[in-house]
Amino acid sequence: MILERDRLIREFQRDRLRLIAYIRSLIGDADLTEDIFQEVSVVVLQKADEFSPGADLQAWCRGIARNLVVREREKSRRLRAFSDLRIVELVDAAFRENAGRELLDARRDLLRKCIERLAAPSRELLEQRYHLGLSLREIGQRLGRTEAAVQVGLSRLRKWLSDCAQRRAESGAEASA
Amino acid sequence: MSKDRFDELYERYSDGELSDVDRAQFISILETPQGRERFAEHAAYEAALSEELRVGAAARKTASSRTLPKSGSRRIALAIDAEPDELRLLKRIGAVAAAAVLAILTIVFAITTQSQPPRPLVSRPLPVPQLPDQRPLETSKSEPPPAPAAAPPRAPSAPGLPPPPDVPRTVEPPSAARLEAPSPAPVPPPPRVPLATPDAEKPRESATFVGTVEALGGEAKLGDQPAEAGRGVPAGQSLSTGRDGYLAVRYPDGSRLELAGDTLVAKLGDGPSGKSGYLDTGMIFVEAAKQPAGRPMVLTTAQAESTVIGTQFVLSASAGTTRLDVREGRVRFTRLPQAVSSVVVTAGHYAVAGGSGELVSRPGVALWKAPTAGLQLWLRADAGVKLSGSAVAAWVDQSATGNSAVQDKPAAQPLWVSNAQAGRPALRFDGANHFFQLPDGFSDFRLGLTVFVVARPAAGGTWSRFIDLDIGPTCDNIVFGRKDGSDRLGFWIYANSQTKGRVEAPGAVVADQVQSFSALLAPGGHVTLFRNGAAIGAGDTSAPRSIVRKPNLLLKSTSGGSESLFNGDLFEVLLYNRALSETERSFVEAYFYAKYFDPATPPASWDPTGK
Repeated sequence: MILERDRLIREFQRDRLRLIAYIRSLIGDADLTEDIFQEVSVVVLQKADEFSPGADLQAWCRGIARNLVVREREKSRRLRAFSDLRIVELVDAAFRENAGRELLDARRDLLRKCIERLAAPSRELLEQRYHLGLSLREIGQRLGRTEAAVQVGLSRLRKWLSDCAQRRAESGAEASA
Repeated sequence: MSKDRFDELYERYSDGELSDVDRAQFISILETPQGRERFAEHAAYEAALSEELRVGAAARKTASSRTLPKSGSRRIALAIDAEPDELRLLKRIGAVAAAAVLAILTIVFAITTQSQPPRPLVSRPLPVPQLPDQRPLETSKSEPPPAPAAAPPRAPSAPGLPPPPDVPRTVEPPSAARLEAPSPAPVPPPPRVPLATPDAEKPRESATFVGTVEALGGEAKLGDQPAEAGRGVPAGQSLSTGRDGYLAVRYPDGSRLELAGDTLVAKLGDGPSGKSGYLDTGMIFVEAAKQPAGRPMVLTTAQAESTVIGTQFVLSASAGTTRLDVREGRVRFTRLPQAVSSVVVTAGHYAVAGGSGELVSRPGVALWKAPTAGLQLWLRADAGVKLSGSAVAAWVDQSATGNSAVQDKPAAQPLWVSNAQAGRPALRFDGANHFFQLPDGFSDFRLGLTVFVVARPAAGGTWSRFIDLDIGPTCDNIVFGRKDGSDRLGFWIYANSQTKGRVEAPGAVVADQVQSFSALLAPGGHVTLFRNGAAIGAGDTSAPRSIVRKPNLLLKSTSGGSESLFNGDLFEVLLYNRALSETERSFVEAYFYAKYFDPATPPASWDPTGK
């Protein structure tokens, strides 16, 4: 039983970022995402013994997260915009269908190195969006830009980081070959 | 679907700001496996980014308080390694020394500037928004991205939190000395090209900005210059729109002012006595946030003054007349120039100032004004109906173009029903024989097209049309109606027998219910479909050619299956030869709403603003 529990926790740790991505997709708020993730963690630890070996852990965790998100929605007016059931269904499907896929989060170390190479203003732009969780509008207001300009700027930064991580992965592969 | 568009929709979704059209498009993407894969990838990538940035910020120990759990948060605080005591002590000594130097500099600075005359306090908007760097953030694929050049100096702000730009910031005019003065918490420079040029040495003009241009379309001007989204609106500035124009201004408190086409607003202000403006001509829609006590929003015209506490209303002014329609809240409406006669107009009421009649608040906003510019056809069952017995032989166009609908054959004439909905009449079509012919013409749609229909369709009518222009052999049809299904609303255009596509909204047409349907064609060929004011579909079709269209039919198709005639009640039809602005469209929808529906029990999906 203890071995099962350890295995479950390891798997949970391995997929934690995917779960965070899922929660974030449903509520949009970075702080609340972290809160809910921690609550999911507590529930998973409390109910680890109830989890059937061989069952879909990610699906179980998403279910727990979804219930917590629904509860938060009922409490917070800001989250009403995310109560579109059709989109929630499709987001569920997106994560369910791609549960086994290797996503970019697998190259975290490369991503980290690329972020370190960013000029300070570019990093700050990313931080405002992905760390402070500001909306495009809020960032635009801070920087005196339009929302569209902020969106395009972020899109370019993401693209650059993605390419950078890809190049590093390829050059690393070549070096080790 | 381009990657850029997906990114845009994803970001809007993340911010909870998808419009109905965005939502429809976003859902259509997510309904494909590829779209869901892209979504999952994108979300995982963002989560990874977020995590890395969070960790990086904690490591730098410079993050804002938001990295720590909020009060009441269930989050567990991130454990950060404690610094050695010696190091902490050295840092404290350094900080005290730096503070002392800073204080000395500040005193010297104050002394040296004391003899100068006091500078006026002014508000400045944030710098003019610029597009993000067009070039990638790296110089080459193998080099680290360059740091954007230094940003223009900014006013001091709260540590780590620049002031929101919508709030006119009160700062002193910059001078070289001031710019060199130490800032308690300099705002990180934004990543964009510098605004500083040799001209920056010249004295700047001071101005107070009352709001920001939030959205615009067509011809829209700030003073005599073309307006730009995101630009500050200086106090005293005029705003104007052309025939196809639209302009929205947002105030720092969230209040909004929208200008319909052919509108001029002058002397926009926001001072100690409140917000103000002068509507010279045209129509504005105002959504006023609750105004502070003693500082109401006051909008004037030549005939009247509207004092607002917090509400939604439409104010329209033309030569000799001003009309106020209140959607929410209450507005004090005062006749000018004497200002001795006034009335409080509450939600669902209107008042007109002009001439010498008494100023009265009247119930009903049934006369929300439909814009007249570009109106090519306006058929309404409560006006212009020429009866032949109980049948309708002609339906006189209420627009200025004279495009009346006629039916010479008695067997094809619809019936007139005096009370079909909310005491309003309608024309009843049998789906077998009844239809109208329209005159030749409808040739110029270079500025787009907007069509509205209020109808109660009966079941069936798989191929029935509301409007089908140019059904002749040249095949330059403009079609609005149903296609391939009794519930499927569609709009499409042929240009010389070719079409780029049909825009359809399945499930849009509900049998036996009074509904408004509309299609808005932008000049480029992009179409948005609406039901009861809410967007239900979008897509592209061909841009219409400029030719004389003939023959033109109302409520009948000559193509398709057997159910080609409309079966049901028709209340009203409006056709414009231009794409109406969002505000104008909402006026028309609000007009329908007030006219055909009980305000107490609007249809569940009703959204007069389409937002």
